[in-house]
Amino acid sequence: MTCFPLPEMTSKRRDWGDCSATTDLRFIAAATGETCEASSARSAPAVRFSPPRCPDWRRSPGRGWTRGRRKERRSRRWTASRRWASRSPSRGVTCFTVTDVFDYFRALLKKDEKSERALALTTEAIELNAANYTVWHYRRVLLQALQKDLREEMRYITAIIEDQPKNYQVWHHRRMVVEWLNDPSEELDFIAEILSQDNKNYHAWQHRQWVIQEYKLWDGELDYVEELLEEDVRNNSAWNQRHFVVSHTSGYSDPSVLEQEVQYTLKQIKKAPHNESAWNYLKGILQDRGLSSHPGLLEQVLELKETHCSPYLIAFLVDLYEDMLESMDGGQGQEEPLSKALVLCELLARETDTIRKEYWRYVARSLQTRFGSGDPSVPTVETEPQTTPASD
Amino acid sequence: MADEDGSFVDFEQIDFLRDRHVKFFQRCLQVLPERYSSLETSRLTIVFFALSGLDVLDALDVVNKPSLTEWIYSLQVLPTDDQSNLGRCGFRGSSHIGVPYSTKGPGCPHPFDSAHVAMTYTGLASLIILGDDLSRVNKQACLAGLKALQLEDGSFYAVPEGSENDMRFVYCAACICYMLNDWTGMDVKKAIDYIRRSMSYDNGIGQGAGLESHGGSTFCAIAALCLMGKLEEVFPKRELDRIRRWCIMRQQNGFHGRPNKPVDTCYSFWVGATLELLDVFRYTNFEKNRNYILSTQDRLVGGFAKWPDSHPDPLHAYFGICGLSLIGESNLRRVHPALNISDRALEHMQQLHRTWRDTLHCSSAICLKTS
Repeated sequence: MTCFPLPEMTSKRRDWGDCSATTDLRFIAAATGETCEASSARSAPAVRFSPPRCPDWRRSPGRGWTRGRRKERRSRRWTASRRWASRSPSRGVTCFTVTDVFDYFRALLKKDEKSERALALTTEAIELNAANYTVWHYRRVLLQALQKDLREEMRYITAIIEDQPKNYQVWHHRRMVVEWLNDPSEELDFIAEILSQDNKNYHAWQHRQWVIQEYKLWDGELDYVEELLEEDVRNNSAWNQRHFVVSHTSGYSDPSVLEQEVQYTLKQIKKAPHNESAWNYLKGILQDRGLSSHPGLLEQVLELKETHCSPYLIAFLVDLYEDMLESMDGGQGQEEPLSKALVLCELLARETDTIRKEYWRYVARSLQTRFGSGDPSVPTVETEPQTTPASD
Repeated sequence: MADEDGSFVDFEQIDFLRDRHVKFFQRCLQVLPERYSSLETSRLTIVFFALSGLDVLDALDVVNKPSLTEWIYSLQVLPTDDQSNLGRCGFRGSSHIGVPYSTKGPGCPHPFDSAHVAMTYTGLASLIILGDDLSRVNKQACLAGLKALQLEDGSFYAVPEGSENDMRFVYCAACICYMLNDWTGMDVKKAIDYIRRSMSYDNGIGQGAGLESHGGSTFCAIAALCLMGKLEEVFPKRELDRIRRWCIMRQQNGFHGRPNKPVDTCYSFWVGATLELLDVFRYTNFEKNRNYILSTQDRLVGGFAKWPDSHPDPLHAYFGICGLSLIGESNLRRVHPALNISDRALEHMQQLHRTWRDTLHCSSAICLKTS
């Protein structure tokens, strides 16, 4: 197996449209002399890419000539139908290398040429490397200079994102086009489609939050979140979105909203007890008001402990007792909640969350230091030093 | 062998193949396969992973330092004669724009040539790792370029033409100021405010306000605050304890980046380093972490992947090694958990800073004498 092939150069340049020699990009590229290969040849090149072999041209019945793919791609409808070079009867088969496309691109960039052929070239360059942010920026400059149809551009970027949904540049480009059009009407459906393929795609959620906040599209979002949580109650991104929606609409200060959210969360916990996301949400919406001040919560959680226990539940109880101790503020009756908290820390360390046993013992020591009376009858926790495992 | 639960672990090969990783990074510095071409505009970050990786492996002797140094300097975007491009200065990721090769100024005017904040960060870090004295870095230009990238909300663009903005670039900006020993490159107060507002209801930190908390952005935020020397000023103990809890819950065997997501080798560094900065890394389970990282080691080709039986890449190779360094793996240099370079490189940087300070004092003294 060889991961690092030797470079192969294939170069069959062709005329770039029907242009005279002075405007032929091939000559401009040669005249500037500043191709990637030329500049990198002058110094010890660090981290070069071996150019690909000439792309595999093949003839598909009914579709004419199309170029082979480096990897499977889902949505090629847009670029296949618009590829200007590939299906010209008079010119026959065309063969480009990455270097060709980017040499031409560099030449255009230097000229700051604003033309249709420049726009077409950005399409080619993006096909080869959608992560090249300079190409995207230049494309945006061209879209505005040539006053291109932005609806067409929306269709284009939709296809590209479908194909490469984890690329930063494509999402940023879409955001720019939406802003120019001042039209978010397709966004929520589009993002939902992307999320249906990967419901934790951080880019998709980020774009969704931007659209909703910018254009005030809060209506229906809570329903969407609940749909996602029905499908997968462990989807942490959906829980986060729930908090995003509620905090920006009703807020959590309204006691009936807060209680509704608490009950909703407890219900989800009953369905799937071992779910950090739900417990994080419950703690998150209550912690600033004090976990121990929410009426009836301790009792509900203690009841859950019998049938729906988890490390998260036990940790929640530790935090609740800690909050109780804090609000007692050194007054009477600290021994009981402290003792309960320490017992739970030891339960986590010994049994329920052993991977974090050193941490839970550290938590116990902190609680003891902060709230302990120094009474020898109060259980303390032994500490064991962490040793690094033997490694050869 | 039995683990602490009493069950027997499958016999996995858990030896660290140092020499394979050295060769892996050496190859990264030569040619990468075409499937990595999407990294064209960020080749300098690959150089950083390879150099810093080799440094942590204590294998920098295999590198042609002068040649790499020249290449990195060729990526500096320097001020043009009329200084009209100061807001675009810093470092490029590669020669992809096609600007004529040059390791010294003045800058070549080009309508689209500008620096990228992550490349300025990794460029400076790479030079420091190579032992360079940064004398050919136009520091004022770098700082001007950085200032041009900060938004009103305190976060940063990557490039002056505009891009997405998030916690990654806040971290890059903090590293740049720290390495240049000059915080005039950013509005620290605004950056801190952005960080505060990015803390989630679940006590992790997202890429921005309202966004899901994530191991990567949590590292970027905490490390940036540590570099600024502002961690305890921004987060009182109660909040630091909450962040500690969120981070420590990320350990499953290795670490994941978000609740209910699969583990991934690189989070052994992102989350591990954050825990180290918060002084509770020692309470994690070193053995399970180490076993996971080594399960993603590629025994044939070297490097590490995000998951076992997957293809290695420079990023996961580097962060796998840094993750092992954090747990004290033998024969690895220690890594500074905030700046993400070896202790040796950091020592060189600190020496440079001392030299700059002394030079400044000398020249002030001369000014006083002659005035």
